[in-house]
Amino acid sequence: MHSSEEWQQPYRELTWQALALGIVSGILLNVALIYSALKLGFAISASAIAALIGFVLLRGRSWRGTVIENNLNQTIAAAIVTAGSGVVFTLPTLFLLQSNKTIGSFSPWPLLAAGVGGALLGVVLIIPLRRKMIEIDRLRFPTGTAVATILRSGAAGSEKVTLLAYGCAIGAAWKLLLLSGWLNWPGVIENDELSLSFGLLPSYLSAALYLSPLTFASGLLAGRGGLPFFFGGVAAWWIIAPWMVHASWLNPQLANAELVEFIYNKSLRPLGIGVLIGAAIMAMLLTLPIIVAALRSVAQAVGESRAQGAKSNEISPWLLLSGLLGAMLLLFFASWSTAVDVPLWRILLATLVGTLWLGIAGLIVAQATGMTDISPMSGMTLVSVALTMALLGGEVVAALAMGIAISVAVGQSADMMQDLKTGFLVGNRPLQQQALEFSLSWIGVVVAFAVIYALWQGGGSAGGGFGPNSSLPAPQASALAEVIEAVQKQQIPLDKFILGGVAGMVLEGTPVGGLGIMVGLAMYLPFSITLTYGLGCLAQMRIEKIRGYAYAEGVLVPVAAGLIIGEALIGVAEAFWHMGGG
Amino acid sequence: MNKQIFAPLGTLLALLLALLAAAKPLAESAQWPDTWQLCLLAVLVAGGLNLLWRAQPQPLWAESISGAEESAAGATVSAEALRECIDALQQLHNAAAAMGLPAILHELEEIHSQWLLPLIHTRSSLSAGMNRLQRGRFLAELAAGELWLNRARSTAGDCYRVETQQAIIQALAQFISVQQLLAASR
Repeated sequence: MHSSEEWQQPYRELTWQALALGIVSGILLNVALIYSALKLGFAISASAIAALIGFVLLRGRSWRGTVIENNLNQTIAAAIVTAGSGVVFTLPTLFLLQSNKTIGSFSPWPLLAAGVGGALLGVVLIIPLRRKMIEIDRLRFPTGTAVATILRSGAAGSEKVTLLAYGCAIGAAWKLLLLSGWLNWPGVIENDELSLSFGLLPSYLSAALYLSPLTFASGLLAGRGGLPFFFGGVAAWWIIAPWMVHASWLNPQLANAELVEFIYNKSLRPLGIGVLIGAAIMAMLLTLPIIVAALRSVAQAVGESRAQGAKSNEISPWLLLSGLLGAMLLLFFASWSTAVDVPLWRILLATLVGTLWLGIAGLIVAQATGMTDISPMSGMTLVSVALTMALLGGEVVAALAMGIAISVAVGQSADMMQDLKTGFLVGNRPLQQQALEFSLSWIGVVVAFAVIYALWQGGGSAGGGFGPNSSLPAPQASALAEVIEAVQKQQIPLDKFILGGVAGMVLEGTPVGGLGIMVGLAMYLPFSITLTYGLGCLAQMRIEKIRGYAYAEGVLVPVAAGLIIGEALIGVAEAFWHMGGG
Repeated sequence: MNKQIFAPLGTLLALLLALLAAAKPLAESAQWPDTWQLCLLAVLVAGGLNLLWRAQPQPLWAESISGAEESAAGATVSAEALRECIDALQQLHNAAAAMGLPAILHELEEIHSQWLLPLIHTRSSLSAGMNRLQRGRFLAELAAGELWLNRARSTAGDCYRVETQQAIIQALAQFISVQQLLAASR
């Protein structure tokens, strides 16, 4: 390019085109992904899709949008979609409980207030941890790294674009093959899992690979950093599970899938949640001095910038504090309006404990996402609902209002960090992204409420638009409804949470930072995911050893980014296909 | 047994035992598994061994696993990479006015892959002798330099010369600040 083709006007960052496109694509993707989550039971990250849309529409010949402008568009869209994902796993539970007469009628407004409060809290509580996660620990955030590769693909040279395209094509083709069912082979490939037992290994070893390019690519991006996650899964499924069987701790009548389900649901998963909680508390305690040091350097830099008349790069602490107080007021209003005959002090206590728990849960989810791209959001929501029910004397609607807030907030925390990682990699100032997430994520909550209400009413005058035995089974909401019924019967595995929490604190306190979170996450997830991820880590380490670090960064990163984008693209296409009646 | 291995291995084995004891399903109408004492004892042993582990000099792999970055090449490589990064950015800044943006972008990509990535890769060895406060400041300043260099790469790719030159100046200032922090800590 010659100098005559250079642009003389100010650099394009936050433009009305980026703002409008981010909001519109965020709303459309939110609607599609809510429908998809009610049908399939899982959410899909929208960052990569929004970045691709921005790449086509903003960076097209006519507008000449910039990398940073597209980063802001993608940040807005992802914030809206993520806020909606938090609602779709919790709000439908209330409709299901109402339809089976567990609860009476309820007003949507306090729940909406809780959702909006959660969206605000998720952003304000995680912002102070940006320096620790992105600048000091340098967590990978695989999707964030993949999105940065898309954003920079125009400037990064044709070789990287080609690698990105190859990865994308392979990821999309593989996902399509899985969806088509052509790969299904009873006993060998079922439910997107390849069995490695070959009829020889016992079922409780759970030897299977999850055939997801996204999961494998996340391991490729993490490399050696992901090994504790892999070893945590190995310890859980190849040491603890066999021990439980051979020590005769389990009902001998349990066998095959039932045995695996029992080990997972009654022991490893609740223990994993406990380890995650303990590890998060210890991580906060251990890293406090280094966060303080980093914040001091920020304060000094802000002071110097102001003295020189320059702009600050971080959102104002006063705005964060105001957001925190405002969000807590919304949570208080939600609990107060929905809890019947509960003393005021208990509502205040629930608001304070809920906010504190939300900070811990946000840290857990953001750190887990940063290390592995996998979010333990449903486990955090489960603990939130149980905690609030205990504090509010078994009030289901009030507990679910808090559950909505916390589910939205933890999702928002993880998304915020993903987007800030992307922003860091493309050189965006964090302030713009933080301000946009802070001011616009509530849109996702409102849209999600409207869509879920409309879908429920679509089932007829008595509702019933989703739930078991309908075309939208809402599996996550059904599972949460079962959990609430278990809490009402006092069947929460408190022993596993507490003992796991104590062990998690020591694990996180070892010199291998992040070990507790990784091991907790490995116990929380099905082993097939951990194995596939671990395979990606080992492949990266092998390739780096043979071809060198520069090759691993220059070739593996764009290929892995492509694999992640390819699977996400097909996931969104599937959501739209289902919306069209497919 | 090698003293360096005893504490980490002992900690991890004790924690595995604790998790194993905690995993036992509850008997009918019990609130705790009958192995809870074993679990807490194992956690206590693990805690004690962990203190020993933390007190001994840490091999670089421990930190590299947590941070997903490797630091095997030592402080010499990092210090040299930082010096080269500053020199290369200084030269680019001096020559930028006479260069086309594609050439500037090419230079920035070279600086990023040749000097900045190895510097980040081995940054733990540079901050090994620092206290927590110095380390926090050092890593924050280094990250700020990287952010400005990333911005310069983006703006150069977008064909905005003024913004690119400003970002190069900012990146240079940050890396010089990192070098000064390093000198002050030694």
